[in-house]
Amino acid sequence: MENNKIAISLKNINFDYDYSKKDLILDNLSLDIECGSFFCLTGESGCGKSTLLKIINGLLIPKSGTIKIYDTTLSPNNIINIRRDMGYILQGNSLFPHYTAYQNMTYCLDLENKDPEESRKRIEELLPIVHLDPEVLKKFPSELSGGQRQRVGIIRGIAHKPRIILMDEPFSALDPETRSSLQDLVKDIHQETHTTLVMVTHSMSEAEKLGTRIYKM
Amino acid sequence: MEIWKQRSYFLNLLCEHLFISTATVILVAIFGIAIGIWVFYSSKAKTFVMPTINFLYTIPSIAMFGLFIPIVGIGLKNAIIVIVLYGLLPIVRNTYIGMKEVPEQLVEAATGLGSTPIQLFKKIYFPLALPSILSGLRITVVMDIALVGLAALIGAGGLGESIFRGLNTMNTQMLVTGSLGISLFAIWGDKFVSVFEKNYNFQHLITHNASKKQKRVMFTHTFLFLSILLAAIIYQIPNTNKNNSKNIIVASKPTSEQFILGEIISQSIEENTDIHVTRKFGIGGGTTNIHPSMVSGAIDIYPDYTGTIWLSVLKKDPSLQVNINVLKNDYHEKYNLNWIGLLGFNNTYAIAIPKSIAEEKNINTISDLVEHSRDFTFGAEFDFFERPDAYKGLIKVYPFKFKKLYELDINLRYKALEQGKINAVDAFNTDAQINALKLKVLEDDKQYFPSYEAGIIAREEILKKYPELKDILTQLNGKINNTKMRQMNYEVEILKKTPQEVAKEFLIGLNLNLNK
Repeated sequence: MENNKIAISLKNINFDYDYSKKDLILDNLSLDIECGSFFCLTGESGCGKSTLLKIINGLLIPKSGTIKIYDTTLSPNNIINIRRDMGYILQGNSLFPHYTAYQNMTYCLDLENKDPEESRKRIEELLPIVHLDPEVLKKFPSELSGGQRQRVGIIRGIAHKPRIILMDEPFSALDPETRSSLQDLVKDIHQETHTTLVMVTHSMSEAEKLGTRIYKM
Repeated sequence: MEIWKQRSYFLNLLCEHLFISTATVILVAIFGIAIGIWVFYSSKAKTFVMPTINFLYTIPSIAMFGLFIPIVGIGLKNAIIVIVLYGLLPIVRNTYIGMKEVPEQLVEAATGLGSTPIQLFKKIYFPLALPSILSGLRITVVMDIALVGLAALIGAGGLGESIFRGLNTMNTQMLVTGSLGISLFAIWGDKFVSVFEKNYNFQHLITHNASKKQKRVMFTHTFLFLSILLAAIIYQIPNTNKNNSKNIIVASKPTSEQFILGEIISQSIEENTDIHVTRKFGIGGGTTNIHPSMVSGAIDIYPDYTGTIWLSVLKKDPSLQVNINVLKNDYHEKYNLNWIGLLGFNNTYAIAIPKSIAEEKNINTISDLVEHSRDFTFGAEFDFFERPDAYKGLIKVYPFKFKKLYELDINLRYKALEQGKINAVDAFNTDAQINALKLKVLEDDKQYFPSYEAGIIAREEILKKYPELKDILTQLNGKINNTKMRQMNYEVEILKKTPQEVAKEFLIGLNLNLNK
């Protein structure tokens, strides 16, 4: 357990999409996220919560400030390795349409050329956890329901056992029933693995239901 | 049927068409996809590559073939370069657009999950751009197959040769067979690529998730294509073997007369020596394109006319009468080319009227026609009214007062005469229609028209390499007079004999057999 350690540390982050603008989306933001927490970022749309998630992942580069992931400062040299230690879960339609559900699930494992047999075992192990039938494995994303797609997306984000999982509005496009069951699922996963979870959500109730810490932007 | 008799000729053309199309499509695919990817990743490249490729696409293809003649000569090399340049646009554009239109969210997901730039390209961009690339390839394939049809104009062979031969010798069967062949070939090419495009077949193959059925259909079509290609290669092997030993290249311009002369030259060489003749007949643009190839050595022998060499190649003053000795000397000194001699006919401009009217009004010379010109309606092609050595100069020497003048397409003027719309026409002295339409060629009594006496031209080096050629070619001097040439043109254009047959009959009649 790494409970009191800091998983993600942001110091004096300044960011705007338009470099000439004076009013920044993120203005001198500093933030520490502890290991093992379920950290929910909420706020109005346009407040910069998704932007912050992308900055943590290195998809966006701040104008100034430093980002540390487990004491390692994020830089272009280590960005790939740091990302591979993170899971990234987006809305269900971010599955790769040209890969089968199985290939989507093993995407991160394949990036590191993991042994196919081990990958297969890992996916088999995860299927019951996310309540997916093995039949879906050969299907393409277009052949799956919204809920199934999101479950595949969750496996894709956690199959390589990352220490940090980032989620960007993962349940926003789902019907209430599916959303609720997937929320429970994520909560279970968090309680079992104690992985650090950072979730962006515009729904306060979702944040309250899941988060061990809520950060309103 | 006529066509069935010439099946080996058509099969050869089909093989050539298949080879050139396959080679160019492969090259276009490699370069096009590579450039498309480059343009996608480099905004600098995009600013100059796309406009350049768009510009290339706007140049008419015939002009592009012509532009490359001074650089690479005529033939296969030229054809491949031009067709590849032409085919680039759809595939570069589709590769670029296909990659650009990969949804941002997928790129973000793949990047966020830790893909390196190369993995991002291999696993996301390229497979997702494939449907767009393949639809670009389909356009390229159809365009290439059609363009190879034009490449016959610069002696690259292919089914286009049959089209142009058909057009130039008024042989509809050849024209239709060539056109139909190209159409069917293009449809098949399109179908072949569509097999890979359909149902994401090829995309699934490279992302390792194609079903057995998908694999089977792609394999079957590829196997079929490769079998046809292999069969074509085997069929063509005997031809290529000959090329390795003694070989010369005989060319001709795209007219019936030139096809016949080209055949006469080729057959008399083949009959009397063991040299293999490669025929590059029907070169578009005539002397303008053949002369540079003679100088560069891409062509060894071809027939031409004194007036053309005098004016177009040696750039002599049009007011000077052709002097054959000066022509021979200058030609040899400047270009190292040999004018072998005069075949015996003069294919110059002439004025012709229906024989019946000529007899009725007792018109024998152009001066006679001047007297009666108020009763005549004169028709000629646009070129005749434009050229300084044609109508403009003609009326100064022969002051015509025609009832009416018609500007007509070169191929329509005889039709107009047949229908009685005109009753005097410009002609080339050896036109087949002079016989067919029972016309009388009026004597140029004031010797206005320059002389266009036919002769054979050979490169100096080829005569040194094969000294026996000079004797064979010289034997043809003075053997074809105007009537004979007109008769042979008539046999091809009106009686629909092939130039090969007509040439063969001529040579048998001549009994020119030298010792082999």
